[in-house]
Amino acid sequence: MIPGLVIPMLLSFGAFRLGQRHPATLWSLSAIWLPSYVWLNGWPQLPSPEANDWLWLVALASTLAAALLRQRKYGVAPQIALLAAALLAMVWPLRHLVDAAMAVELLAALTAGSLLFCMPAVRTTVPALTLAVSASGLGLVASLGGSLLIGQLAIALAAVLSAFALAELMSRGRWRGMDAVFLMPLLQLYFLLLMIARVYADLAIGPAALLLIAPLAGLLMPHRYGVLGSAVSASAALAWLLVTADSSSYY
Amino acid sequence: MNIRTKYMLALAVMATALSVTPAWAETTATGKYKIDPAHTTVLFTVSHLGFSNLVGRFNTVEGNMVLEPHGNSSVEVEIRTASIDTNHGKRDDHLRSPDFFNAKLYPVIRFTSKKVTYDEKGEPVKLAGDLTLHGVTRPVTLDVTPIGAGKDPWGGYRAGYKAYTVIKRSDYGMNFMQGGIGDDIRIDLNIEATKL
Repeated sequence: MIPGLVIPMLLSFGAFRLGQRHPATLWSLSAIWLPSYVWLNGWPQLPSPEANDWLWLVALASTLAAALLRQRKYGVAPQIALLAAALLAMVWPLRHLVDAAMAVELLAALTAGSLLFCMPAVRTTVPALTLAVSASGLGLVASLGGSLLIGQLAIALAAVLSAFALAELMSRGRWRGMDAVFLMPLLQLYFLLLMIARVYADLAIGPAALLLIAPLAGLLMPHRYGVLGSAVSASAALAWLLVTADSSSYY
Repeated sequence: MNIRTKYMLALAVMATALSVTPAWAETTATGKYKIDPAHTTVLFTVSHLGFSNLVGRFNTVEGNMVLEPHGNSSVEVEIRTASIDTNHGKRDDHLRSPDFFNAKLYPVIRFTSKKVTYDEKGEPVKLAGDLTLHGVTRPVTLDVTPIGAGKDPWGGYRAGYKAYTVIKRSDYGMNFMQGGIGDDIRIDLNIEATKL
């Protein structure tokens, strides 16, 4: 609870307050996820063949790429290249197990991410809320369906957005303080966490596919209805898992 | 043929018969052995919330031994990580995940011995070697107790040992849920090997 929810929520509210006076603070969104990451995953042992140990690098690199995008330098190519490289690096230790099906799934994740990065402007008026809903869904599904660690990291991702999501919800879409470009590092982390859960923790294909669609459905739909798309997709993933998986507890 | 000749002939026949030793009459333990997976178990015990001990096992084990009593015996054991079995499918899936053993990334747990220590009777009592678990290799020492050795009913020769050690999973980079699941893991092996 504390590292996965409380700490990132507190930092989120701090970043929100600070961001109202100093918009550049919003670049810190991926950075305020890092304390939770270190608490839950431990200090990354580098070099490491474990994908979890490199998430911090992706977060920081993506923040830099997004900053360049805001400066209108290089476009979205760095973000797409980063996602492609991260997915490839993530699956590289298991390259002997990669078959056509896994290749298609990785390509689907890359396509979904690229699509979101390439959109000139996110259509929904509640992007933070939408991504928070998707990440919450991923957190619950991963926790129940394969890896409690990945689930907690995803919940922390949602908590990082909590203050901004709340502002969007309460202003009913009138507050537009969250530029989509600030979300790109968190989107990178979202797709990577999802694919790590799929590849390494054998998260079922059905819920994984629905969670891949969740941010797409939400961020590309107009107005605040986008969050409904994300909520439906994430809820369907959770329901699928609950219906099909072994429900006995062993904790 | 006189009695003396018959007597000598009988002695010669007996000597010839005794010099032909069939394989099933092998009595020495020295030699190469293959671990018999059907009669070998690897168990681990870990604390759950400090309230009880959970016992699990690994079901796929293979390896080899070289026994040289009083000499440089050696053991190499490989365990398939994914064969973990705690009698609960969902928990076993969780243990195979990146949270714990990360079985896809680290499919094999390996022990390679380096030194055997014997007691005054010439029996092995300690087995020192390297344990590779979760991608980390560290030295460990097992306490060894010979159980028995000898001919089996099918003409082979078998030797059995039990051994145990205690490791800390944090030493091998397995730090998840330290509060709820103990750091100390006791490993018990019961090994039977057949002579090659």
